[in-house]
Amino acid sequence: MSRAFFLLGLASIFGVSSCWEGTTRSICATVLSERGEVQYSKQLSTNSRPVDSKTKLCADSILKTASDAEVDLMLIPGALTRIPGDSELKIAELTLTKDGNETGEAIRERHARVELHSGGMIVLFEGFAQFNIQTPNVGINVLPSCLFRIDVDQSRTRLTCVHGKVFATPKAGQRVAVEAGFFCEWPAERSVISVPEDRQAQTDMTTTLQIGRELTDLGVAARDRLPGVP
Amino acid sequence: MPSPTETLRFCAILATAIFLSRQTGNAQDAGPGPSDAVAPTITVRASASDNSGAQFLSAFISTAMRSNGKNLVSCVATAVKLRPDLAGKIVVCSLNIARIKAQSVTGRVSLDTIDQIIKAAIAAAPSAASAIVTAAIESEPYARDSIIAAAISAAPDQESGIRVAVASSSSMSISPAVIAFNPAEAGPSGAVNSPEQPPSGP
Repeated sequence: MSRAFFLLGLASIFGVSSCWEGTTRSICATVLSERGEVQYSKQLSTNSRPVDSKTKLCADSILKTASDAEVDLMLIPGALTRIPGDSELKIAELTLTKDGNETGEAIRERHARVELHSGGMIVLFEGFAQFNIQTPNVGINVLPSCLFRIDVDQSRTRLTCVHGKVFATPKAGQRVAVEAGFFCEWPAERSVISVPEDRQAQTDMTTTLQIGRELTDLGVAARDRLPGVP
Repeated sequence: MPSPTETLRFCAILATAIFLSRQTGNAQDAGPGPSDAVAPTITVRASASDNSGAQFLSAFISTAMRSNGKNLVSCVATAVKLRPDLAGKIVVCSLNIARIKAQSVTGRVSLDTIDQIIKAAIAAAPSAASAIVTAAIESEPYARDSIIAAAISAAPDQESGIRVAVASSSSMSISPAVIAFNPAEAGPSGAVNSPEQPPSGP
């Protein structure tokens, strides 16, 4: 009798534990809009394919934009980005963790990790997620409610924050918090610099604000669109 | 989140810095120093070049991004008062800031916020009313009527100028005339391919 209770208890523990943690699934980025020649390929593939509004950019996709092109993406819900021309971005990881037992707020975790190899990236991030951007020299931890721009070229990485706060960790150096109205450049001569002190940063700030607004509009339009309807 | 007094202090610093820079014309270096701690003050380096407009706007955006509600409106008023020549751009930037900060489901700025921004900007520089209204309508075409009403209530003596500016501006707002669709006007004239035909006689 006691053995039967023991087995029943064991089965109950297995049954409960199997539903305990949420399930994690890889998701794909949505293309909100594209202009000019934008191509993507899988990491192990040499074949590049053009990006259009139906393209789903999943993990290990490498996106390349021509000099006069740009593409707007929704990496995960709330994380909108514009990739300007002459850029190369790798989508390393996009995952959602969901509690299947919940019928309401089922999302437990969102995770986005991308690698900006060259070019630029304007990011508008609302909501909650672990969002990391890796550049050749700097790792960036994105906090919710922020708008910023990253530019990467062969020798320098520049981060201009327009709204919110971003943490950046250079390969050689200390972690830096860049707040709205400041920018930072690596290799760094100074830590963070006020935007009005630098002509390039001034232009970046004004244009990034405008792009942030456009991304907001695209995000709203994408939300209103029916699933499967481009 | 900065307190209201702190945000007002930002505005005061912004105003003082720009005023002093215009008076002296000398460059000032006001970097935050080697520390990682970011100082919450925005200073503007003096410049008599064409760059001063971009410099002013970036300083305004930096300050306004940290402001909410009435503090944002007071920053708009301060900025427009200092640079009425940039009034249109300042208002558009402030509307964009309000939109990004609002995180509204519709992606639109509330009419109340638009009303406050327009009234504050025009009260600060009534002579720039036309430029402000034109820029605001271009930015937020859905709020065209609210913008015009707010502008006229803030500067009644500028009403004729505002009306002329609105009439001459090519607004992208969707008017009822654009929404109204008559298939008879769109299709080939007189050749409707349908089994249902109009009655032949009276």
